[in-house]
Amino acid sequence: MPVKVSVYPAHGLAGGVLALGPRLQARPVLFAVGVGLLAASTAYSAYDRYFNQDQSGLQALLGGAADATGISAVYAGITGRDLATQHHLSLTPAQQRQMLTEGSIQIGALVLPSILKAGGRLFAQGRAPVAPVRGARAGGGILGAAAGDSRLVWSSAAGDVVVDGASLPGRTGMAVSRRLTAAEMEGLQLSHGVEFALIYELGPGPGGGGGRYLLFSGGPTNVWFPPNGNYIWISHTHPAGYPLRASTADQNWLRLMQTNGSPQRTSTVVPLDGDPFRFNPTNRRLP
Amino acid sequence: MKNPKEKLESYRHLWADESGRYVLIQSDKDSQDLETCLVYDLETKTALLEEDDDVYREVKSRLAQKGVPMLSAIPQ
Repeated sequence: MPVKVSVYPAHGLAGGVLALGPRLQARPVLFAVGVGLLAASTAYSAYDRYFNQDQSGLQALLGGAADATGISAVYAGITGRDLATQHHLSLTPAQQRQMLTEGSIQIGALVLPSILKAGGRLFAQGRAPVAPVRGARAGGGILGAAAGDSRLVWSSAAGDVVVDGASLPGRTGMAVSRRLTAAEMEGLQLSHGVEFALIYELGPGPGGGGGRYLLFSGGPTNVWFPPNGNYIWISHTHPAGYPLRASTADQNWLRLMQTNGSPQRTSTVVPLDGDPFRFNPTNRRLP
Repeated sequence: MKNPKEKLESYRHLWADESGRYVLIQSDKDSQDLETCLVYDLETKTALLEEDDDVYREVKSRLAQKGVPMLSAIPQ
């Protein structure tokens, strides 16, 4: 029986869109488009096999799925037979090579991003002795080891704030160009394995405008910074494994700032193993 | 993460210091309770924020036993 060999260009597109989807900003849309294209390709191939090639329902379905993913093309390229029916396709060596190539490209478009991602993760683990950055919540990422130093460099996603492990701000502090988000604070603690505190030094303008942001770092469970009444204590991080509430020291600190003239009423804790929360001197975790 | 004993040991330099650099500072003006105090570094004008309540309580206790002063306001 002559067997029709079909090539469906949409297969590669579906694989590519499916693979790219999770990497781009429009993730859900692209992912849905990829899944839709893959399903449409499978359905079309199954229809062709069932109605035009007189295959059984099961053969048409499995064959359609294999066509859509490129498996059947690779199989045909290697064996010269159809995967679902096992019929000999009477392919020339050149046609077999072509099908093997096309099938490999199709499969590659589907699995290569995952392989690259896994490889990249392994590479990053080899370079990063401390906890790795956790996805989007971590707000920024590890740039890699500083030159001549095994410690890490953290950078915000935009690259406008960089904190080098070889020269952490410590209790002297460092000025940063803007207010860091909770996700970025979390990323800092994850990258460097120590606590960070962010304050705003009130400026001479109305409402304290014209001030500056200062970042301090400490040890794994502590941080030293100035309890100045002219500061707004924006946030600080907590390591994993601690209760998801402010410590006694957190509350004492905020109270000390208030008694020394700070207008601040609440501050934010950014825990590594929970969502950020606010507290004040009388409530360890505000609703 | 260090155990409490190791963490406490990491603060030994505070009560071993003989220069008078470290003092206690009271966050509640109406209290003399160690619980509402923070450890303050006169040299860098910074205070210690330690998340482990038990360890911090012990650090403050050791400083108090050594006789460091308890300030009621941030030194200018």
